[in-house]
Amino acid sequence: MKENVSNFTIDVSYKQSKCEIYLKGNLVIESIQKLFDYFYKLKFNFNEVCFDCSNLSHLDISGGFALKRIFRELENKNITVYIKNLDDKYKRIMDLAEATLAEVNFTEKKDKNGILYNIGSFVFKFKDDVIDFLSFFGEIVVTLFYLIIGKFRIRINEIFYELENSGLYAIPIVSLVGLLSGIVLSYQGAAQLEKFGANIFIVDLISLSIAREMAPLLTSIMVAGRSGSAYTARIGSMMLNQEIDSLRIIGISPTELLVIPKLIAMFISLPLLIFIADIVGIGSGIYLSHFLLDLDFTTMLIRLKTSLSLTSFLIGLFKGFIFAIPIVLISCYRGFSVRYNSDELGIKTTMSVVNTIFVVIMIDAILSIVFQKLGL
Amino acid sequence: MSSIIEVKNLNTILGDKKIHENLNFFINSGEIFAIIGGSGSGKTVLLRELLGLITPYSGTIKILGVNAHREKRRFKKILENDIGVLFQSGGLISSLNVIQNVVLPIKEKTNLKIDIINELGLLKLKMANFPLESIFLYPSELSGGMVKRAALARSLIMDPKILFLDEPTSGLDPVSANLFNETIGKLRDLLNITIVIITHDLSTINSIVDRMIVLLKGKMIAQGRVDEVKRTDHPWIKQYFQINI
Repeated sequence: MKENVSNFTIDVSYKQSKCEIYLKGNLVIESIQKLFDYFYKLKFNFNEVCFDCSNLSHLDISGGFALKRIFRELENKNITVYIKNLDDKYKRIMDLAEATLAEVNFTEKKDKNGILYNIGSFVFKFKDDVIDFLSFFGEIVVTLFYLIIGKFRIRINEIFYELENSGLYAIPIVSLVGLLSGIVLSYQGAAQLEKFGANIFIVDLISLSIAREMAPLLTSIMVAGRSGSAYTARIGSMMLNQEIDSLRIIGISPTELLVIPKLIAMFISLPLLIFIADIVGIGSGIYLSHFLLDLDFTTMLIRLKTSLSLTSFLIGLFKGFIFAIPIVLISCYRGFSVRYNSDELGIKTTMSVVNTIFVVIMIDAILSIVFQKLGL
Repeated sequence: MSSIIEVKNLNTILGDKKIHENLNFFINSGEIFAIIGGSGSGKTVLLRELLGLITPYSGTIKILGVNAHREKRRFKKILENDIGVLFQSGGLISSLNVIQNVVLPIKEKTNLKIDIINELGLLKLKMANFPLESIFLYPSELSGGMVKRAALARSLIMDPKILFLDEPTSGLDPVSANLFNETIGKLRDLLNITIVIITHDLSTINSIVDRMIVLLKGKMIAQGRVDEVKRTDHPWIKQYFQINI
């Protein structure tokens, strides 16, 4: 590349109002920048230009194009252009370049829409999205109905595959998150409760907040990020490969094969994961409180028995059962809406995770109010 | 004419499978050279070796006098500036539209002004017979033939000396395929570039190819001008040219 550039040289000589330009070396794509640079530095105080190509050793299409483009600009300035000693085979290249230049008109159309247009198109897209999601939800309900009346079979293998992938393999990260939330609560709680001398209430604080809120919410968010994105990506790439189309043609309902097993597996695995997070979180919290507040384990465990009612514990697991629905449905829906290209796959995976986490937190907020009103 | 690509005693082993056995051939400057062979005969592996993407077990590959697997740094320069490749599925980047795809190499390697770059891209698109009203479409919106032509334009953008085409006419209807063959022939006549085609398409072989080799199960069973190969007394070659009339 370097050789090509240094190889190309330009010499200019002026004779009154006439300018002679000697081109020497390889005029190829790497050296046309040099030609343009030189050309724009010229003072156009002449009305005739002659390009001498006798020492031109190589000219490629880009070089021919560059020359033609310069000719055009010179002619626009009413300067006459001559070319001499050009090899015949290069003449054909120049002709091709000229023919194309004549046709080419590079104007990119740019959509410049007002803010109202953008708001409107957003609303319409949102409407389509909602309708699509509802029809997807309807398909799931119909499939579930067929499953219950026994028209479809329950796919045990797929369910176990999903249980393994989204349940078993999530145990390490979910336990870690439980452990960390236990640490946070015990340290934060200990600092505050010590001021009031209400040391023993650390047990209430940790057990209730972890079992009712922290464990279900954090576990669901972890699972949404971990398994939800995987569902979207997997179904999305199946869409791009026309696998979903071929499943439909073969007569296998994609929702029955791909969504229902995930849903059933998530119904089983998410409450179990929350249970694990409960155990690890409360356990680590109580263990740390023993050192932070000098409470002995027996007292704390007796306190735990009275503070954490079975209802509170079950509410946590029930939340997992509820959260499983948006996690699976939204991520699968986003997967099925992937079209055209791999760009879309990335966009839809992001949307899937964001939507799922948002919906999970929203449902959590609603459930908090509901349980409060019910007095649970 | 001088040979621009030389392959000597090439043996390839991938895993525990022998892919090529003792391949020897050369490609002359300015000719259209075809590599044909049955499915699984190692054609695509050979292409990847020629491009330096796979290292052979033994033997040498020289392109423009540079050993593709020994002199890596020099070969990389050749790859960037003198070689264009049209991959089987086009290899267009899906997040860029056609014109952006085509000018991507110049944008990366030169600091020309954007309007000059775009005009160069249009020039190459026109040479590849791409309909110029569709240059703002994205690859997912293009038909198979248009994808191939856009990819051809991109492979031509740096004015390569050697052009590798991996099954350029597969998936095209015969009319488009013939048009594509014509375009390639014209390019060679105009620019005097060397073109290496991997193909199954007999219309390509009959219309534009000068010399060819035939691979079967990793061995080269024929080599030479098209009419010479056709006369070779080998059951596979006979069947190949008979079926494809």
